[in-house]
Amino acid sequence: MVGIISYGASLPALRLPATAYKEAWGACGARGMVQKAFCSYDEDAVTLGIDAARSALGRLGNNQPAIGALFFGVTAPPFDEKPSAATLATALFDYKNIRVTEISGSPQAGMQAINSAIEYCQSNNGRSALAVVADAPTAPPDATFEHALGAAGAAFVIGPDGPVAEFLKCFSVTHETFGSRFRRRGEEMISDLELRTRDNLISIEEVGKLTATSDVPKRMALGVDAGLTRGVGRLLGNSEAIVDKIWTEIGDAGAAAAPCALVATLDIMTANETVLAVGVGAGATAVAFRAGGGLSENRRKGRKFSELIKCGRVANYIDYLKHKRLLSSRTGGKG
Amino acid sequence: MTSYISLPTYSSNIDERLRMIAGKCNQCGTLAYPQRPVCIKCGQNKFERVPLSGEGKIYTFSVVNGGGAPSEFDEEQTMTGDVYCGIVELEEGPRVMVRFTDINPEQLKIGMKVRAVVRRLYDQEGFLRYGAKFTQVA
Ligand SMILES: [Zn+2]
Repeated sequence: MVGIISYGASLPALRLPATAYKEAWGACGARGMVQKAFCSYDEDAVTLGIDAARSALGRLGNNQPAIGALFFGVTAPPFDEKPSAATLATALFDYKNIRVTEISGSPQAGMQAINSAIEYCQSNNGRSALAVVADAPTAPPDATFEHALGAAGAAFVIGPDGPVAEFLKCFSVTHETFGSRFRRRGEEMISDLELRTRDNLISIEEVGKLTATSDVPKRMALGVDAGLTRGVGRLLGNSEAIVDKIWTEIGDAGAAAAPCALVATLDIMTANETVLAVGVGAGATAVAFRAGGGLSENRRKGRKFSELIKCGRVANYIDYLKHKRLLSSRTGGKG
Repeated sequence: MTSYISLPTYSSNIDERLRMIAGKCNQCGTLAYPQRPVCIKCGQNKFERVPLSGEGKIYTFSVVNGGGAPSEFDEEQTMTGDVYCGIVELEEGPRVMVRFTDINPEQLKIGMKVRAVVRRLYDQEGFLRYGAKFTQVA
């Protein structure tokens, strides 16, 4: 059965504690967040993606399969036109016969990239693919929803057999949103009219209806904030599920949020346990996996997500703004 | 490896910059990184492409204080302070001029183990350039 052959993640170099927002603005708009990970001046979604992919491929040593397709899930690529996925492929492989696809447009992009890699392997018998997800969304510093925005990357080598985790099923719901998390063409920063539309809750409820007919997964890997995390077990009809909460430690990593939660969950799963990873935004994409016999050996070959969280350098708020180019008259936040 | 070069030159050796591909002399086996048109040891001009591990140690280093960096790093230096650069002796032998990143300046010393990571080098002519920088081995 198609599934995950190897996995890995990357976090940027810097951390900002939530208290920095309390000091600067009187309150932190990201309730429940302890700290977030953010990119230093020379990092972005591409560098995080390369690092995460090298981690996932590196765990395979000399047993790396030929990768036929690379899917890059990202909402904040540095170019609107000119595929950053080609930069990833150039940095990772010495061959050029590889298909690259960039998936963007909502925080679902990460889980969509993983699902696309799975479907590529299902429809191309015996071939392997790489799903890379990385993101570093930016918003105006005086917007409350900016407080949560973090950065992260993850990568999954998908192949005809999934010794790390076997693919079980994908569930997708789509619904058009009006005013929540959008970015018009040519704009650098995301907008959110903060209309409290319950868009994400509705998406999760819809996923819950779809998954109700399947086996109940033991664990949930969610790309959602602390507020949504609390009610999500009930919404998905699975109050007993163990929900992973990396959001409180890395912030909102956009397209990388749910895949990184999947990485953190794989780090602690035992063989035969199941997990449902859910990426949310303008709908939801959920992918279910069952951990395999090769999981523990694979994860021993790399660093755990919890270790990556700990190894960042803590910065202050002014340094945060400088590294994110938000104080630059020349680039004005241009990433 | 990191200061300004034209985009056509940058693109022609992108494999060296992103994947650390060296040239190995077909005649005497000497490694050239960055690659060169002729072997510095035997003068021959045929090379095999070999990937380097990206691991090495600091041979020497400099700290460039405010205002001293070349213009392509001007904005970065304004935002992040001192620029750390130097020469790394790679595990395979070649010594290469590099920039350091995520380095604790108090721990910076000759002989320190470092490894290559891909980072944004600079943004000029409306275009971003990525390439190898070296960071402390955790
Ligand atoms: Zn020679």
